[in-house]
Amino acid sequence: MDTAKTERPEDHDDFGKKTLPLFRLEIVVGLALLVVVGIYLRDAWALPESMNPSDVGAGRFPMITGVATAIALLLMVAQACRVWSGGREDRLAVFGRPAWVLAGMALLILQAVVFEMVGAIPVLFGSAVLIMLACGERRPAHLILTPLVLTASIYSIFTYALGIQLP
Amino acid sequence: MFENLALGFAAFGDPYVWLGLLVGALAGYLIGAIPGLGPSLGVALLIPFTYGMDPVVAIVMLVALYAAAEYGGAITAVLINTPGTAAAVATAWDGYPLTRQGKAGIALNLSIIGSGIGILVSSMLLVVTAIPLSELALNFGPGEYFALAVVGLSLVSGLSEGSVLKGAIAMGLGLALATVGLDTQTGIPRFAYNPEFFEGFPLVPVLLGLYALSEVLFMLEDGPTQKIKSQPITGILAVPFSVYWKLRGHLVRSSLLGYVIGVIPGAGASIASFMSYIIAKKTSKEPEKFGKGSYEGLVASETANNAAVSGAMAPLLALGIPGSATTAVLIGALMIQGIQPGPLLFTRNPEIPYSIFASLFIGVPVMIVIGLAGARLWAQVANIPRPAIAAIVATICLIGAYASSNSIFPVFIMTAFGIIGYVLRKAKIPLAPIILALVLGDMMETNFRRAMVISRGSYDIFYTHPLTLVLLVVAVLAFVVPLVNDLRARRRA
Repeated sequence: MDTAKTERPEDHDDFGKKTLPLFRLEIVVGLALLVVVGIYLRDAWALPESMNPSDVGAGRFPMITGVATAIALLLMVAQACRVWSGGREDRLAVFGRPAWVLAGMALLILQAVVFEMVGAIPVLFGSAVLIMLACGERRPAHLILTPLVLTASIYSIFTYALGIQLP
Repeated sequence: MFENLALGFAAFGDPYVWLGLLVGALAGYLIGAIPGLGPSLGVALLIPFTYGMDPVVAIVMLVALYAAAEYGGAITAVLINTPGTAAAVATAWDGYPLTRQGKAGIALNLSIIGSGIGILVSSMLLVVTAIPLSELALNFGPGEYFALAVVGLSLVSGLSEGSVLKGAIAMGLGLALATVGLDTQTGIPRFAYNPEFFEGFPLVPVLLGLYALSEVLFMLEDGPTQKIKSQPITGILAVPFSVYWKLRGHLVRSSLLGYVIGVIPGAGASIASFMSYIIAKKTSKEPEKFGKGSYEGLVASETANNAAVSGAMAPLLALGIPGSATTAVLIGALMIQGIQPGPLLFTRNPEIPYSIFASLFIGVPVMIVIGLAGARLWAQVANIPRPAIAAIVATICLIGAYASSNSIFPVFIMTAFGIIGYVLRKAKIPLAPIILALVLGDMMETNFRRAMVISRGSYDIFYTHPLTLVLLVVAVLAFVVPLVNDLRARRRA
């Protein structure tokens, strides 16, 4: 086997970016989606037949969709496994600033959880500040003024111009 | 037809329609000029602002944004070699060399006026072709409609970026999402693990999550960007008519080509601009100038990518089949307004398609003036700090999702799809087929089941009707041909 081809590209950290061979991501995403599609197919199978004898019922179309998607997913995983065994992957998935991206995801989930409890204005302001921080903004004036203007304008447009009641 | 067209133009008697056009055009230029934010994200972000608006005002605003984003994408491509949209990549090949030669003003003039001509010519073609197409579609039965939806999805999945297999996976996921909720024919809840899902996946939060929120995560990846040094713009109004007269062949051909490619589902503005550029180079008397600041190359790319905007409207309005990610988002916006695109749209809600036609015509001088007058400003837009854009997009997503049904449920849906969209994009699974399938899924299943009822449960209805058979063969070929090409390329590699 060509040793140059079997290097582990995920070990490289180029300018703060983490890289991963694409086939690994394809296998992980493919298997995760296969589980979801499996559950979908199980539930589609359990759907009752239609009372109308000439109707194919509520489950036929989802079954066709689910089976076709599962086949496509299996083919993608098989293709990725072939590349893995051949050790000739040159396509990479690049992840920049992964810690900040994960923090950003956590922040997005948090803002959804607390939105109704805390209210629109503090959540809008707080999440705008934190997203800017996570994005690398460090200038204090920008960190305060941009979210302030943003919160005021978005809140005013939706509440007063569009008449939408925000918490 | 002329009566209805007059009805469309009459809608502009309402100042709010003008306001919608202007807001959409300004927002479109802004979105188009910011690298990374495309027209689909722009339309998705603007949808929450259209809740409660008059449908004509809302749709004119969204269409104006779509068209202006394509104009705006060229400005940063020309001035700083950073295409604002994917369709403006070929524009940068000749636009930026012109800027470096001190001809930034001329390059901007050519790209903006060329875009205007592209929209104008293609809008005429749209008026001429969309109505007969919708009349033809009125004769379609459920089998033909089902096959038509399959063709649209197959073309979009087959032509989408990445492998065909991944396009198929995305299409399958979108169709699966479309089946969630109460079955429209039997009333049985399907895959609805929570009563909130009885009405299916809400479209706006899914759109905002997949297109906008996932982009925020990509902005977090990039971190703060460096300030871009822009070039001086001189002579923007000093392009003589003779220059355009010399380019007339390219302007007309690129408009026609852009329109035709725009009509084909999945092809879109990027392919139109690349193909037009290649053809212009092949037919040019000075092909050696291409890539070094050719007026012909610049005009060919820019005219075609804007003409594709009107082209993409034809299947959307006439057949109810969106052919691109942006038109899929637009169809969502129409549905939110209670309007179902398709052949009946021209008889049930003629004010909608004809207002769109009128807005495309009236929009041309508006976009040209905004583009030429504000060129310096649009060039500065690319310098808006990335963290501020991320905060703006995330905030609009949050409020837009909440406002879609005044509850927190869509916010969770939007957040989940934001994260899912990020992961799928990392795995190079395209998002456009998901949205298209989600939008078309219900129509596809309803017609599939109707066809099966007509044929008493037999599948022969799909191959005994000639039009259905032809459409299904096209759908299969749309998958098989790129798949075979893909496999051949892999073997060669």
